[in-house]
Amino acid sequence: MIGYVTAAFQNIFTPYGLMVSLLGAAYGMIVGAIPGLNATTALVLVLPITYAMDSITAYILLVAVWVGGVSGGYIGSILVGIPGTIGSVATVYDGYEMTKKGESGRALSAAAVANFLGTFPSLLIAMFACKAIAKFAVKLGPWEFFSLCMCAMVLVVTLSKGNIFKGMISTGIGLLLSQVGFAPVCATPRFTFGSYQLAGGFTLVCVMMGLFAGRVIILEYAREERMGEHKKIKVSGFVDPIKDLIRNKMMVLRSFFVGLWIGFLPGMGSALSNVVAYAQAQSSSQHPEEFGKGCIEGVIAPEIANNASIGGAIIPAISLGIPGDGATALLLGSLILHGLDAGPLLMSKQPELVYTIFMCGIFASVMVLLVQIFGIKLLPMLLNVPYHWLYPAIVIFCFIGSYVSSSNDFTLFATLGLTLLGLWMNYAGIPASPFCLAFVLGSMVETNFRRAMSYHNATFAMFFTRPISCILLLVALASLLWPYIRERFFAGRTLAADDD
Amino acid sequence: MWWPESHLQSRSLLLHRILTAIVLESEVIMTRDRGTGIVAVLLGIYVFFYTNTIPNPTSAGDSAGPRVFPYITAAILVICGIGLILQKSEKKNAFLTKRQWARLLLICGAYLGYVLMLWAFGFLIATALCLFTLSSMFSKGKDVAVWKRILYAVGVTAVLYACFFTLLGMSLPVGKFIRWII
Repeated sequence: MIGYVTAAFQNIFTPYGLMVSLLGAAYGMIVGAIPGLNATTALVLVLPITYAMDSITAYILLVAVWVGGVSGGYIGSILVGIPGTIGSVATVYDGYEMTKKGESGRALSAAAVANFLGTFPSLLIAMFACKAIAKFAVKLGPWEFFSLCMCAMVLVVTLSKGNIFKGMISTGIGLLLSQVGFAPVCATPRFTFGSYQLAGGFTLVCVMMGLFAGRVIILEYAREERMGEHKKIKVSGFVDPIKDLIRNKMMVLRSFFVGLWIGFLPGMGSALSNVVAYAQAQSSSQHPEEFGKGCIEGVIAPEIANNASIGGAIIPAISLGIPGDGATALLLGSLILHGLDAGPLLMSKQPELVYTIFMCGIFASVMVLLVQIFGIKLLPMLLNVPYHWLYPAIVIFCFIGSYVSSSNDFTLFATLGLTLLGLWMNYAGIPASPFCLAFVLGSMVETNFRRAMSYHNATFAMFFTRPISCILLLVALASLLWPYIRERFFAGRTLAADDD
Repeated sequence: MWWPESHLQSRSLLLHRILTAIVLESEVIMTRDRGTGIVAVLLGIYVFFYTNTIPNPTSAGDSAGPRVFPYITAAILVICGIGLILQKSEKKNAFLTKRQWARLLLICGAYLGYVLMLWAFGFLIATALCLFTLSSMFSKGKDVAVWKRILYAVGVTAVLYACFFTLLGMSLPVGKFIRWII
C-alpha cells in the first residue's frame, strides 16, 4: 500500500498537478458558494474541459472540484442566510445570526476549519475502508452486483424525502435513457429509431448539462430569483477557531461520525447529515437555548458532518462501483469516462489510480482550507457575482460542453430536449438524484443481470437462492413497502388508542 | 357467457358510476401529480409496445435477452404512474405565475434560437449574439450599458474560443451555412 501511496504522491506533486488541484478547488468552492449552483453543476461544467487532459490530470481536477463544491456551500449560509448547497442548510440557523451580530469572520473561520476536519480524515478512513471492502467484493458474482445496484437505486428513492412513486418514475426515466443505443452483451440496437446518432446513446455530459445546468438557469430567469444586488458585507479576517473546536471536541467527533455514516448510506449524503449533526449538537449541548441565536457549535457541527459525508460517499463508489447519491454518481461517471474501471476489481486492477483519487481528495481539502483562510476577506465578493454576466456564460457552456463531448450537431438538440425534460421533471416534482443514479448505473445493472442469466441453467430464482443477493433484494423490497406498512401499523394503533 | 338481465343492469350501472366518478374526479381535481401519473403510464405503455419490436437474437448468450430491461422499465413507469394517479393528492400552489410562465417561454425561445444559430451559423456568430441577448434579458431593469454587454459578448466568445479550440484543440460547431460558404 505504501508503494501505491508514494506513486500517487508522485502523480499529484508536480507543479502542474498542484496548480490544477488549486484551481479546481477554488473553482469548485466559488460555484458551490453561489446560491442556485452546487457541486454537481461545478462538475458538469468542468467535465468537457477534461476531455483534452490526460487521465491523472482529469482525476485531480474532477476530485478537487467535487471537494471544493461541497465545501463552498457554507459561505452563502453564513453571509447572506442563503445556503449555497443543500448540504449547508443547517449552517444558516446560527451562521447567519453570527453575521448579524458582526461575527462573520469567526463563523467563516470556524466553518473553513470544520470543512477540513470533515473532509481530510473521512478520506483517510475511506482509503483504508475501500481496501477492506474491495477484498470482500471480489468474492461477489453478477447476481450480487445486480442486487446491490438495485438495492442502491431503490434506497436512494425511499430514503430521500419525497414521494416514492415520483422517485421510481425518475429511476424509470433514467433507466430508459441509459438503454438508448446498443444493448450490453448482444449489441442489439434499442430506442434508436433507425438514427445512427442515437445508436451511441446519450453522453453523460449531454444528459447532465441539460438536466442540471440548463434547467437551473431557465428557472432562475423565470422566477427572477437572486437577480437583485446583495448588501455589502465586511469580513474582518481569519479568527483562530482552535479554542472553539477543542472546547467542543466530543461534538466534533460525533458530528464527524454522523456525517461519515450518513454519507456511506445510499440516498442520504450531506443533505441529511448536516441537519442530523445540528440536531445532535443541540440536544447534547449544555446550552441548547443558544442554538439559533448565533452559536458557534451550530456552525461547526453541520459543516463537519456534511464534509465527512464526502469520505462516506466515496467508499461504496470506489470499492463497489456504486455511488450513493447524484453528485457522487456524476463524479464516478466522469472518472469512468477517463478510464477508471469502477467495480470490485478496481482495487486489484488499478490500485495506483485508486490511491491517486484519494490523494487528490486529501490534497484538495488542504487546498480548499488554504484558499478559504487566505481568501477569507474576498469571500463576500462571491455572493455579489452579477448574475447577468454569470448565467449567460453558463448557458453557453452547457451547449458547447455537450457539443465537444461528441462533436455532432445532434447533441445540441438532444441537450435542448433534455433541458425541457428536466423542466418537466421539476414541474412534476420528480427528483433528479434517482434519475442520475439510474442513468449512471443502468448499463452496469443490465450487464450484471445478463451475465448472471448467461450461466448454464440460469433462472430468475438464482437471485433469491444466493444469500447475499437475496438479502439485498429483500432490503430493497422492504424499504419500498416499509412506509405503507408503517402507515397502516401506526394508523391501526392510533385507531385502537382512540377506541380505548 | 349468459348473465341474467338484472345482473347486466346492475353491472352497467356500476360501470356507469365508476366512469362518472373518474370523469368527475378528473375534472374536479386533475392535480399535477395525476397529470404526471398519466404521462408516466402513457410513456410506460409506449415503451412496452416499442420493446416488442426490439429484435431478440437467439445468439445473445443469455436467457434474458435485450428486451428484459426495457420491459422492467415499462413496468416501473406504468405501476408508479398508476400509483400516482390513485394516490390521494392535494392541489399544490401554482408552479409559476402567468408572468413567470411568459419569462420561461422567452428564455426557452432564447435556448432554441441559440441551438438553431449554432447549427446554421456556427460558434462565433451564435455565441456572441446569444451572450448579448441573454445578458440583456438578465440585466433588464438594471443600469447596464449596451457597450458593456457588447464587450462582454465578444470577450466571452473569444475566451471560450481560445480555451476550447486553440488551447484544448477541441472542435466547435462550424455551422451549415458557414461551411457551405467556405
